Amino acid sequence: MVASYLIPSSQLSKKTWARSLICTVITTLLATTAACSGGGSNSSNPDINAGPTVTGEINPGIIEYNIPATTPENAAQLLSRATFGTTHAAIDAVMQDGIALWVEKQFTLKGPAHLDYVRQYSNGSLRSPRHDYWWVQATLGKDQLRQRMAFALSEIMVISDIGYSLSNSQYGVTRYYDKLLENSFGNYRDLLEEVTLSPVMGLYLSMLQNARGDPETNTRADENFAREVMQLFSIGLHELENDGTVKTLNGKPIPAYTQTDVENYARVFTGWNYFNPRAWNQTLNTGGDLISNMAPVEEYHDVDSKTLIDGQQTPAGVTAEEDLKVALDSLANHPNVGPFIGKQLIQKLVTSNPSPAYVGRVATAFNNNGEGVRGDLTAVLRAILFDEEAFSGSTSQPNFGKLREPIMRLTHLWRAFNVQPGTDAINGAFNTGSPALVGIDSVIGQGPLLATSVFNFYRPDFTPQGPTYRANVLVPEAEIYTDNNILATTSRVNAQIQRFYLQNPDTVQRRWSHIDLSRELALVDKPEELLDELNVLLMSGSMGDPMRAALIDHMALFGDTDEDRSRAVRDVISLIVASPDYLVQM
Amino acid sequence: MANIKKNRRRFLKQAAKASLLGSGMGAMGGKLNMMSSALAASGDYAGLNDYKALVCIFLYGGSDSYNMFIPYDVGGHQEYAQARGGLSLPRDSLLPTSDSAIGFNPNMPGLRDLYDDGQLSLVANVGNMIVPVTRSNFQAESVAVPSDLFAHNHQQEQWQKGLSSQPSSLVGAGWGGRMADLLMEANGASALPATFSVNGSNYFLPGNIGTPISINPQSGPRLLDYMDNSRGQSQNDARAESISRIMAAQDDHLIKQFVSSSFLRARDSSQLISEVLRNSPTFTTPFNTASRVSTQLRMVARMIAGREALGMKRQVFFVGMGGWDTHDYQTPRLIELTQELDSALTGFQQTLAELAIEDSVTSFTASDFGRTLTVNGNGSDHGWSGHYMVMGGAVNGGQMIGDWPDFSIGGSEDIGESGRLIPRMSINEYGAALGSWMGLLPGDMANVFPDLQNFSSDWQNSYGLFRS
Repeated sequence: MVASYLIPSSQLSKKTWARSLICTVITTLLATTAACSGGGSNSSNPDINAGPTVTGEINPGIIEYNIPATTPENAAQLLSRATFGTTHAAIDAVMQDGIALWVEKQFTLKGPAHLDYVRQYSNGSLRSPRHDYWWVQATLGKDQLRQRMAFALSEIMVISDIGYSLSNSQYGVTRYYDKLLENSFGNYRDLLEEVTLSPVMGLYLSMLQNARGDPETNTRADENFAREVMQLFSIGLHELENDGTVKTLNGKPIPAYTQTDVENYARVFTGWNYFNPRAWNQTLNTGGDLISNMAPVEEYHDVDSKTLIDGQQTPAGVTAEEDLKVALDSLANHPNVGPFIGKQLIQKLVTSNPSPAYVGRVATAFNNNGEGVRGDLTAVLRAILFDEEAFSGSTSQPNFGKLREPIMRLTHLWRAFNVQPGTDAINGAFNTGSPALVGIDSVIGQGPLLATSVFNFYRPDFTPQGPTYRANVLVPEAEIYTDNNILATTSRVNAQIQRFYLQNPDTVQRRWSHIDLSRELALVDKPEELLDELNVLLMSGSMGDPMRAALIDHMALFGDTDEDRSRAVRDVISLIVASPDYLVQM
Repeated sequence: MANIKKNRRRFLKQAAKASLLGSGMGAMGGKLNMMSSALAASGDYAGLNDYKALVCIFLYGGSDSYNMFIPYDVGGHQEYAQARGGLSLPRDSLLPTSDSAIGFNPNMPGLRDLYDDGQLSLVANVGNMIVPVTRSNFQAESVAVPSDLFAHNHQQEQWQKGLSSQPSSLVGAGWGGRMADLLMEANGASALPATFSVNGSNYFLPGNIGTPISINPQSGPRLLDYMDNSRGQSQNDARAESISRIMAAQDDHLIKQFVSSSFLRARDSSQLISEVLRNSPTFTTPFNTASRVSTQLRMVARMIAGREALGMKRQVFFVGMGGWDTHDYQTPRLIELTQELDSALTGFQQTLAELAIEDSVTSFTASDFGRTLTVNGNGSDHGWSGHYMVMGGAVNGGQMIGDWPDFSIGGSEDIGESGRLIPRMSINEYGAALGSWMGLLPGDMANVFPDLQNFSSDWQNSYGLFRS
């Protein structure tokens, strides 16, 4: 049965009544649910850790989608894409609201800025508070879709605090992440400008203090930001059809820009410095402002005319800011952006190998949200999450889904089993063994804003040599599924299950964070029921029969002692979260 | 001690046998060293009895080799300084080679000494090309050039795959892997592939047949903590058995197949390798533990020390060092980078000498691309050609293969007006010279480097890079 999420796209005049109808429905629902929780976290989690969540008005889109009736399985599937991990409470919330309304409610939620916490607990160089709070928000924040989207954006518009100046710029790096959170449901063009003018991006890709060329000293403008903003943050290397297919000429991809274009944009991006600098060569150490957006210093801006990628000549003699706006417009309006950014977001949330038609539908929503607005990221998210292929792909396409990112392996486990910081947790942070979260990238190959370069932890077009390569099936996350990371991550996940669980008397040390397996333990005498429940909670119902049989047999190994019963539950979870059926999010 | 050794051998034998037979190996089954059963064994390399290893040290970001190796004669230095402006290093700060031909970067005294000692040579003006390129045919767009020049990730990929005449997506293997596909035959019945990375994923080592092993440079291969079946704990054994069963479930889904095959390979190979590394010698050569590249090279040395237990006659290693994308603050950043590289490479060479294996290991550098000669303020941008190092006891050291480039901006070798210099030697020629030393037969070279036919055949004597 298919329930239509009815907001007509063709008849704009009906939009108002459609909206008011939806709002009525929502208001009714709000009255019957306790708090406007997005179902983001288990209800028993203390709110103090995640901080207050701001709730805004619901403002549904007008593009029409056919969304199947909600089931526990497709609710869990939605949550695996739109949150940092499925929980029982969240499944209940989606079941109650329906998929569309649950998503609309998520668009209204906004958790606290990360910067407040980091300012409180870091001196600006201490790195752990940024990580500690990121994991708390990713796991406990009610604004789960915002959290997930911001993280996806942080893997596209990448900065990293590995090395040189940014590791000592924790406030600035945190502020950058807050910008991604703030703009996750905004407009792409605004996001692009916020990213461009961020002083940490300025440091990372050397747009900060990029001075116009000087014939006297034989220097020219720095090409770094100009090149990467085009290759990675907006249009990509090659001309694309709206469905993401690469345009070719004589069998070769058509470049989306040339070296000459890079040189022109390099000149556009001249003349920007820290906000209110003492001098042009203001340093970080002497108080360069890492929070405020960069500000122009006109004498360092190249005022000659530039040729932009759309062929337009910028007028000579204009300010740095005027030049920048025109240049960012030219990028944001390039037809590549919808398919280029849209496809990557599909890959981050739903499937590594979307069909061109799916990419095309998402790109079309990027190009026009139905109200004539280009770059509306909520329209893009609806198009990704409500697409027919998102619902049917797991049965209609042979290699659908995606390899779970290592970070999600931890957060999903924590959320599914209601992780609690220890009673003696330092500043509310999670602590689940060594290395601490600030160094978790050495185990899982990933961490928030911790890629080894602006090219992220993995490339969107990566596939390992072997059967997937030969079949032209992309597996981007496989780039960090190295031998070492596979084993270390599996061990780390197992430690959480086998050691840091509430009933374990060895783990009374109160600084550790524990998962709670009491709900599962209550089902240990009914293995089929337990597996049914875990199949939905962890795998959106995608557990195969051979796996199920192996788990049933495994549980039969155990006797009736308390320890045996606990081990049966723990082992089943350990085996599920290491399995191929689990690790491919369907 | 003798007993430990004996036990270790027995363990390795058993493990090798187990993996050969594919017991408990799941859907992908089979030897750890193969991804496909179609091993094209020629028999040509089966009899190789000596040991040789090739170590690729990839400088991620595009290394400014023009400021690592500088003309030392007064005229040449002037041309260099003119081109590089604010980035140029004063002549009197350089470390001259004994023949006064080359000034090494002042932070690379160890490498300069290795050059003078005859254990290191330079190969000048190397880069990613399909066919030879000139300024005029580049500007007229009348010559085939690699796609996406100056884009980091694509140039890294093309460098490491070494087959730029084809779209990258149609090239699966890297040239290190293609070389190892042929040479692995020398390793006989070893259960492991011939390719090892201490820097995670890369495009250099995967072969059409062999899948590289990746090892944590700090800790070595890890064992699973709760699912390992080699630790003699019954709780682990039960979980290990069940996870093996789950991994063995047949599934047409290729990403699920990747999960099971990569898990089983990682688990089984790490058991083998960690057993060998447990017995690796303690090195007296100090290593800079704060340096990632030093740490990686130390792990390579440990693997080389275990070559006999692993049954290795030919190995290819991949090492990576990041941070070379010096768009700004190049001068201070290059000081740190060159210091770190100098100590890492010289420490590695010293460790190999300690193991008395230095004549059998050749290390070489590579990078995305060179950098612009011209200055963008206080750094440099993405270029094309660059100079690279080849180091080892077998190297006929103390020479620079090739001449200095034309340093004039907008000159004969500049693609434009910014000092982005055109390479004179292709990666294929550079790689073929190294492959020849590894023992690849000339007739097989075209399989490893299909684009090689577009260049002269001078690679056949390896440009005199090695002692004969």
